[in-house]
Amino acid sequence: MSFRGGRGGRMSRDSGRPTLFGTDIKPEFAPSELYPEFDLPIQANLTDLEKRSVSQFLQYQQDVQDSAFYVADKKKRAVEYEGGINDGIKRYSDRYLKKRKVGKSVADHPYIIEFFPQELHSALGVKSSNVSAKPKRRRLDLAQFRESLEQDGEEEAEGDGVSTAARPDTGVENDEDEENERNDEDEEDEDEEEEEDEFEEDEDGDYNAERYFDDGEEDYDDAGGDDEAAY
Amino acid sequence: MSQYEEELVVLLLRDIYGDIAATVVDTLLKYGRLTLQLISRYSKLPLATIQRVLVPLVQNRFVLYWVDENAGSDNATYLASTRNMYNIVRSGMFVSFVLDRFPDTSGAPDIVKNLLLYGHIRASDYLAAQSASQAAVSKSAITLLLQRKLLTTLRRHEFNPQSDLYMRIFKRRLAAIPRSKAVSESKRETQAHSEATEEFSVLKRVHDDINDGLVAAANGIGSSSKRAHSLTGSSPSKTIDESAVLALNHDKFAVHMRAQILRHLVAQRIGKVTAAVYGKVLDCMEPKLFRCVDNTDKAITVTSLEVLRSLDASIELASALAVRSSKKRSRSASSRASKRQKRRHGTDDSAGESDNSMGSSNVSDLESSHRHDDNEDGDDEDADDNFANSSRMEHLNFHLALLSCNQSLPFITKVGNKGGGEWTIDFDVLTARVRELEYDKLITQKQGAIACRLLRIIRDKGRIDEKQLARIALLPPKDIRSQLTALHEIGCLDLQEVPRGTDRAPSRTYYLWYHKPKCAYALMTQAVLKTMVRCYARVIEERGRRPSVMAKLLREDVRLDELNMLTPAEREEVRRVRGVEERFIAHMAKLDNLVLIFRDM
Repeated sequence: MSFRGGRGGRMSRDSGRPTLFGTDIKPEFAPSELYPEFDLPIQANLTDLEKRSVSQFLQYQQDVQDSAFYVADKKKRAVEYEGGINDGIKRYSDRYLKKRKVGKSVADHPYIIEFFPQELHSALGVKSSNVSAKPKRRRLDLAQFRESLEQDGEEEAEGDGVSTAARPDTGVENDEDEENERNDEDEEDEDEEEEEDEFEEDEDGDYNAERYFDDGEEDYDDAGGDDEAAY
Repeated sequence: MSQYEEELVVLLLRDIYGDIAATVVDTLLKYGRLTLQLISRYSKLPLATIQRVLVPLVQNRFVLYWVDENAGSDNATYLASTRNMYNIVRSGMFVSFVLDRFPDTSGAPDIVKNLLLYGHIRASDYLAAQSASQAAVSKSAITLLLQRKLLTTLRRHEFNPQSDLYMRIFKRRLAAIPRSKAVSESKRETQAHSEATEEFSVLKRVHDDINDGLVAAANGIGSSSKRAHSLTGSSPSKTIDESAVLALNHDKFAVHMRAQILRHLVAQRIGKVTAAVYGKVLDCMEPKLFRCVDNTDKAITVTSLEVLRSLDASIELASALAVRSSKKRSRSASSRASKRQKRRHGTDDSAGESDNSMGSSNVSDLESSHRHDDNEDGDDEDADDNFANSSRMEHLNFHLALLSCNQSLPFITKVGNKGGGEWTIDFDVLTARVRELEYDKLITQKQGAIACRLLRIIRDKGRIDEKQLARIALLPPKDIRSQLTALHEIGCLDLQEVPRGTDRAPSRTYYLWYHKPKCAYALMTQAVLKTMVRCYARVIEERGRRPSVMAKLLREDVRLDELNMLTPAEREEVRRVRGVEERFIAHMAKLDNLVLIFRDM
C-alpha cells in the first residue's frame, strides 16, 4: 500500500467521480446507545425430540459427575460432601448430602492398559512391571439407565450411584440375581456409612423414648402428683 | 483450533468433568503439545493430580498422546483434540436418536449411554458387568449397533494425533525408497508422500469393513434378521468379538444428521410424501456411507426397486401427484404445467430459465406417457382409474423424477435404468448448495432481503463492481453502498482493487466485490460458536445465581421427592432454572445444526 499514493488520492479530489467510501456514507461520531432498539426473536416452543435431547444431555452431565471420572481437588477428609457448606460444622442435614469418597476415584475403572502411555500407568492403578499380576478389577459400574428420568433419580438415591464407585473389591463375582446384589450392596453401604457416619442413628442413641417417657396411662391411677415428671 | 471453539470446549469440560480437567485442557490449548512436566509447570498443578486427571481425558480421547520412538526418553507429549471434545455437544442428540430408533428394552440405549460416560468399553467387560439374561440382550444389541456402524471398534492408533501417524508412515516410506543417482530427492519425497497418503487413508478407513468387530457366531446366535442381511450385506449369523473395544461413532451420527437436514429441505421445497421417499432413498444408501466427507471416487447407487421394497405400505405415493385426465388434457395439463413452473419459480429464486424449461419438459414427458394410456379410453374416469392402478413403481419413479429435475438443487440424479432406475446422490454439489441456501437465510435475518439479493447477484456474477451491480439489481447505487459495506463487515463480501493506472488513486481504481464461500462460512461458524459459548455461560450463570437451591436439589431426600421437600418459592426458582437450562441447551442444539452444515457436512 503506497502511503503517498493513498494520501495523495484522498487529499486531491478528482473532478466528477467521488471516492468510493467518501461522500455517501457519513461517519457517525456520536456514541451509540447502550441498548439500541432491537427486534428480539422469540424462541419457538421446543419439540418433544428437543426436550428429550436436553434431558439426556443433563443426565449425562449428572452421570459423569457421579462417576469415577470426575476428579476433584483432594481434600484432607475421607468423605467429601458435595453441595454442603464445608465449614467443619456438623449438621443434621449432612446425612442427606450427596457423598463422594475422594481419593479413590480414578483407578477404579477397568482400563485397557495398552491404550495409555507408560507414564500414566501408575494413575491407572497398575504396578509398573508386573502386568500379569493385575489386581482383581472391579467390574464396570453401570448405572441402570432408564428413559424416564424420574426413575433414575430414585435409583441413584438408593445409593448404588456414588458410594459403590469407590468401594474396592466389591462385586467381582457376577451374581445371577441382580436384585440380591443390589440389596447386598445397600446393606454393605449402610454398614460402611455407619462406620464413617459421624452421626448416630436415632435408635442407637441414649435417648430411648420408651424408657423415659411415661405414657400417662399409669398416671391417672395415682391421683396425686408424686410421680416423676414425664419427659 | 479456533478461539471460540476452544472457549466452548473448556466451558463444557469445566461444568461436566471438573475444574482440574478444564485447567489442564486450557493449558494444552494455549501452549500446544506439552509433556507432563510442562503441563505441571504451566498450569501450576502437582504432577500426580495431572496424571490422575489425564486418565479420563485420554480415556475419552479428549487428549491425544504421542510417544516418539526415536527420542531418548519415554515421555509422551499430549495434545488436546477440540474435535473430539466438541462432540460432547452432540451427546444428548445421539442418545435421543438411538432411543428413537431402538426400543428401550433392547439394551441399545443403555450401551450408548454407558459408552458416552466411559469413553470406550471392552465388550467382554460390559457383558461381564451384567446378569446373564441382560448380557444376551446386550450382545444382540451391540451386534446390531456395530452392523449399523453407530458403534465402532477402537485401535491403538486412534489415541494418537493424526499428523504424527502420518509422519511416521511417511518416514518409513521415505526410508524404503532407496537413494539413487537417477531419482532426485524431491521425487523421492513426492513418491513417499503419495504412498504415505494412500496407506494413511487405508488406516483411517479400517473400520469401514462390514465385519469390523464381529466374528462368526458359533451356533448361529446373532443378528439373523433378513432385513439386516439385505441392508448391510454381512452374513446373518455374526456376533461380537468379545475382545473388541467399543466406542461411539460420531462420524456416522453426522451422516444421519445430514440425512435429516436433507429430508427437511425436501419437505419444505417439494412435499411431505416426496420427503418420505427421499428419506427411504437415504436409508438405503446409509449402510455404505461411513462419514460425511469421504474422498473416494466411488459413487453409491440405489435402485428404485430397493427403495420400493423398503417403503412403508402406508405411504400414499399417488396422493401427492396430480391426476391427469384425457378430455381436459390440453387445458388442465397446461394449467398444471404453469402451476408447477410457478411453484418452482417461487421457491427457487436464482435458478433462472433453465429450471422452467427442464420442469416443463419433464411434465410433458409424463403427459406423453399418460397420453398413451389415455388414448385407449377417452373417458375421464377411465383415465383416473388408470392412474390409480398404474403401479406403485411408477408413482415412485414420478417422485424420484421430481427430486432430480431441479438442476441447481439436485437432490438425486439418475444414472441408469437397471432395476427400475438407478439413482445416485452427489453429496458434494448438494451440500454446497445447502450451505448457500442456509447462508442466504442467515444473511436475510441479519441484514435484510436486499442484502441477500445483492449477495446472490454477486455469487452469480463472480466479481462485479458497484455500478453494474446497481444496474442488475435495479436499485440506486446509494442504497446498495451501505448494504455492501455492512456485508463487508460481516465477512460475507470482499473487495478487489484493480488499479487503472500506475498510481493507486482511489478514483482511478476499479473496486470489485466478490464472495468467497469458504471464508464467509468460516467466519459465520465462528459467530455461531461464540453464540454457543454465551448460551452455555448463561446457563452456568443462572445456576450460579441460586446456589442454595441448586445445592438443595443435590440432596438425596430432595431428589426422591421434590414436590414436598421444597418450599413453593424454591419450586418456582427450580422451575425457572430448569426452563432456562432447557431453552438454552435446545438453542445450542440448533446452533450445532448450523455448525454441522457449515463445517462438518
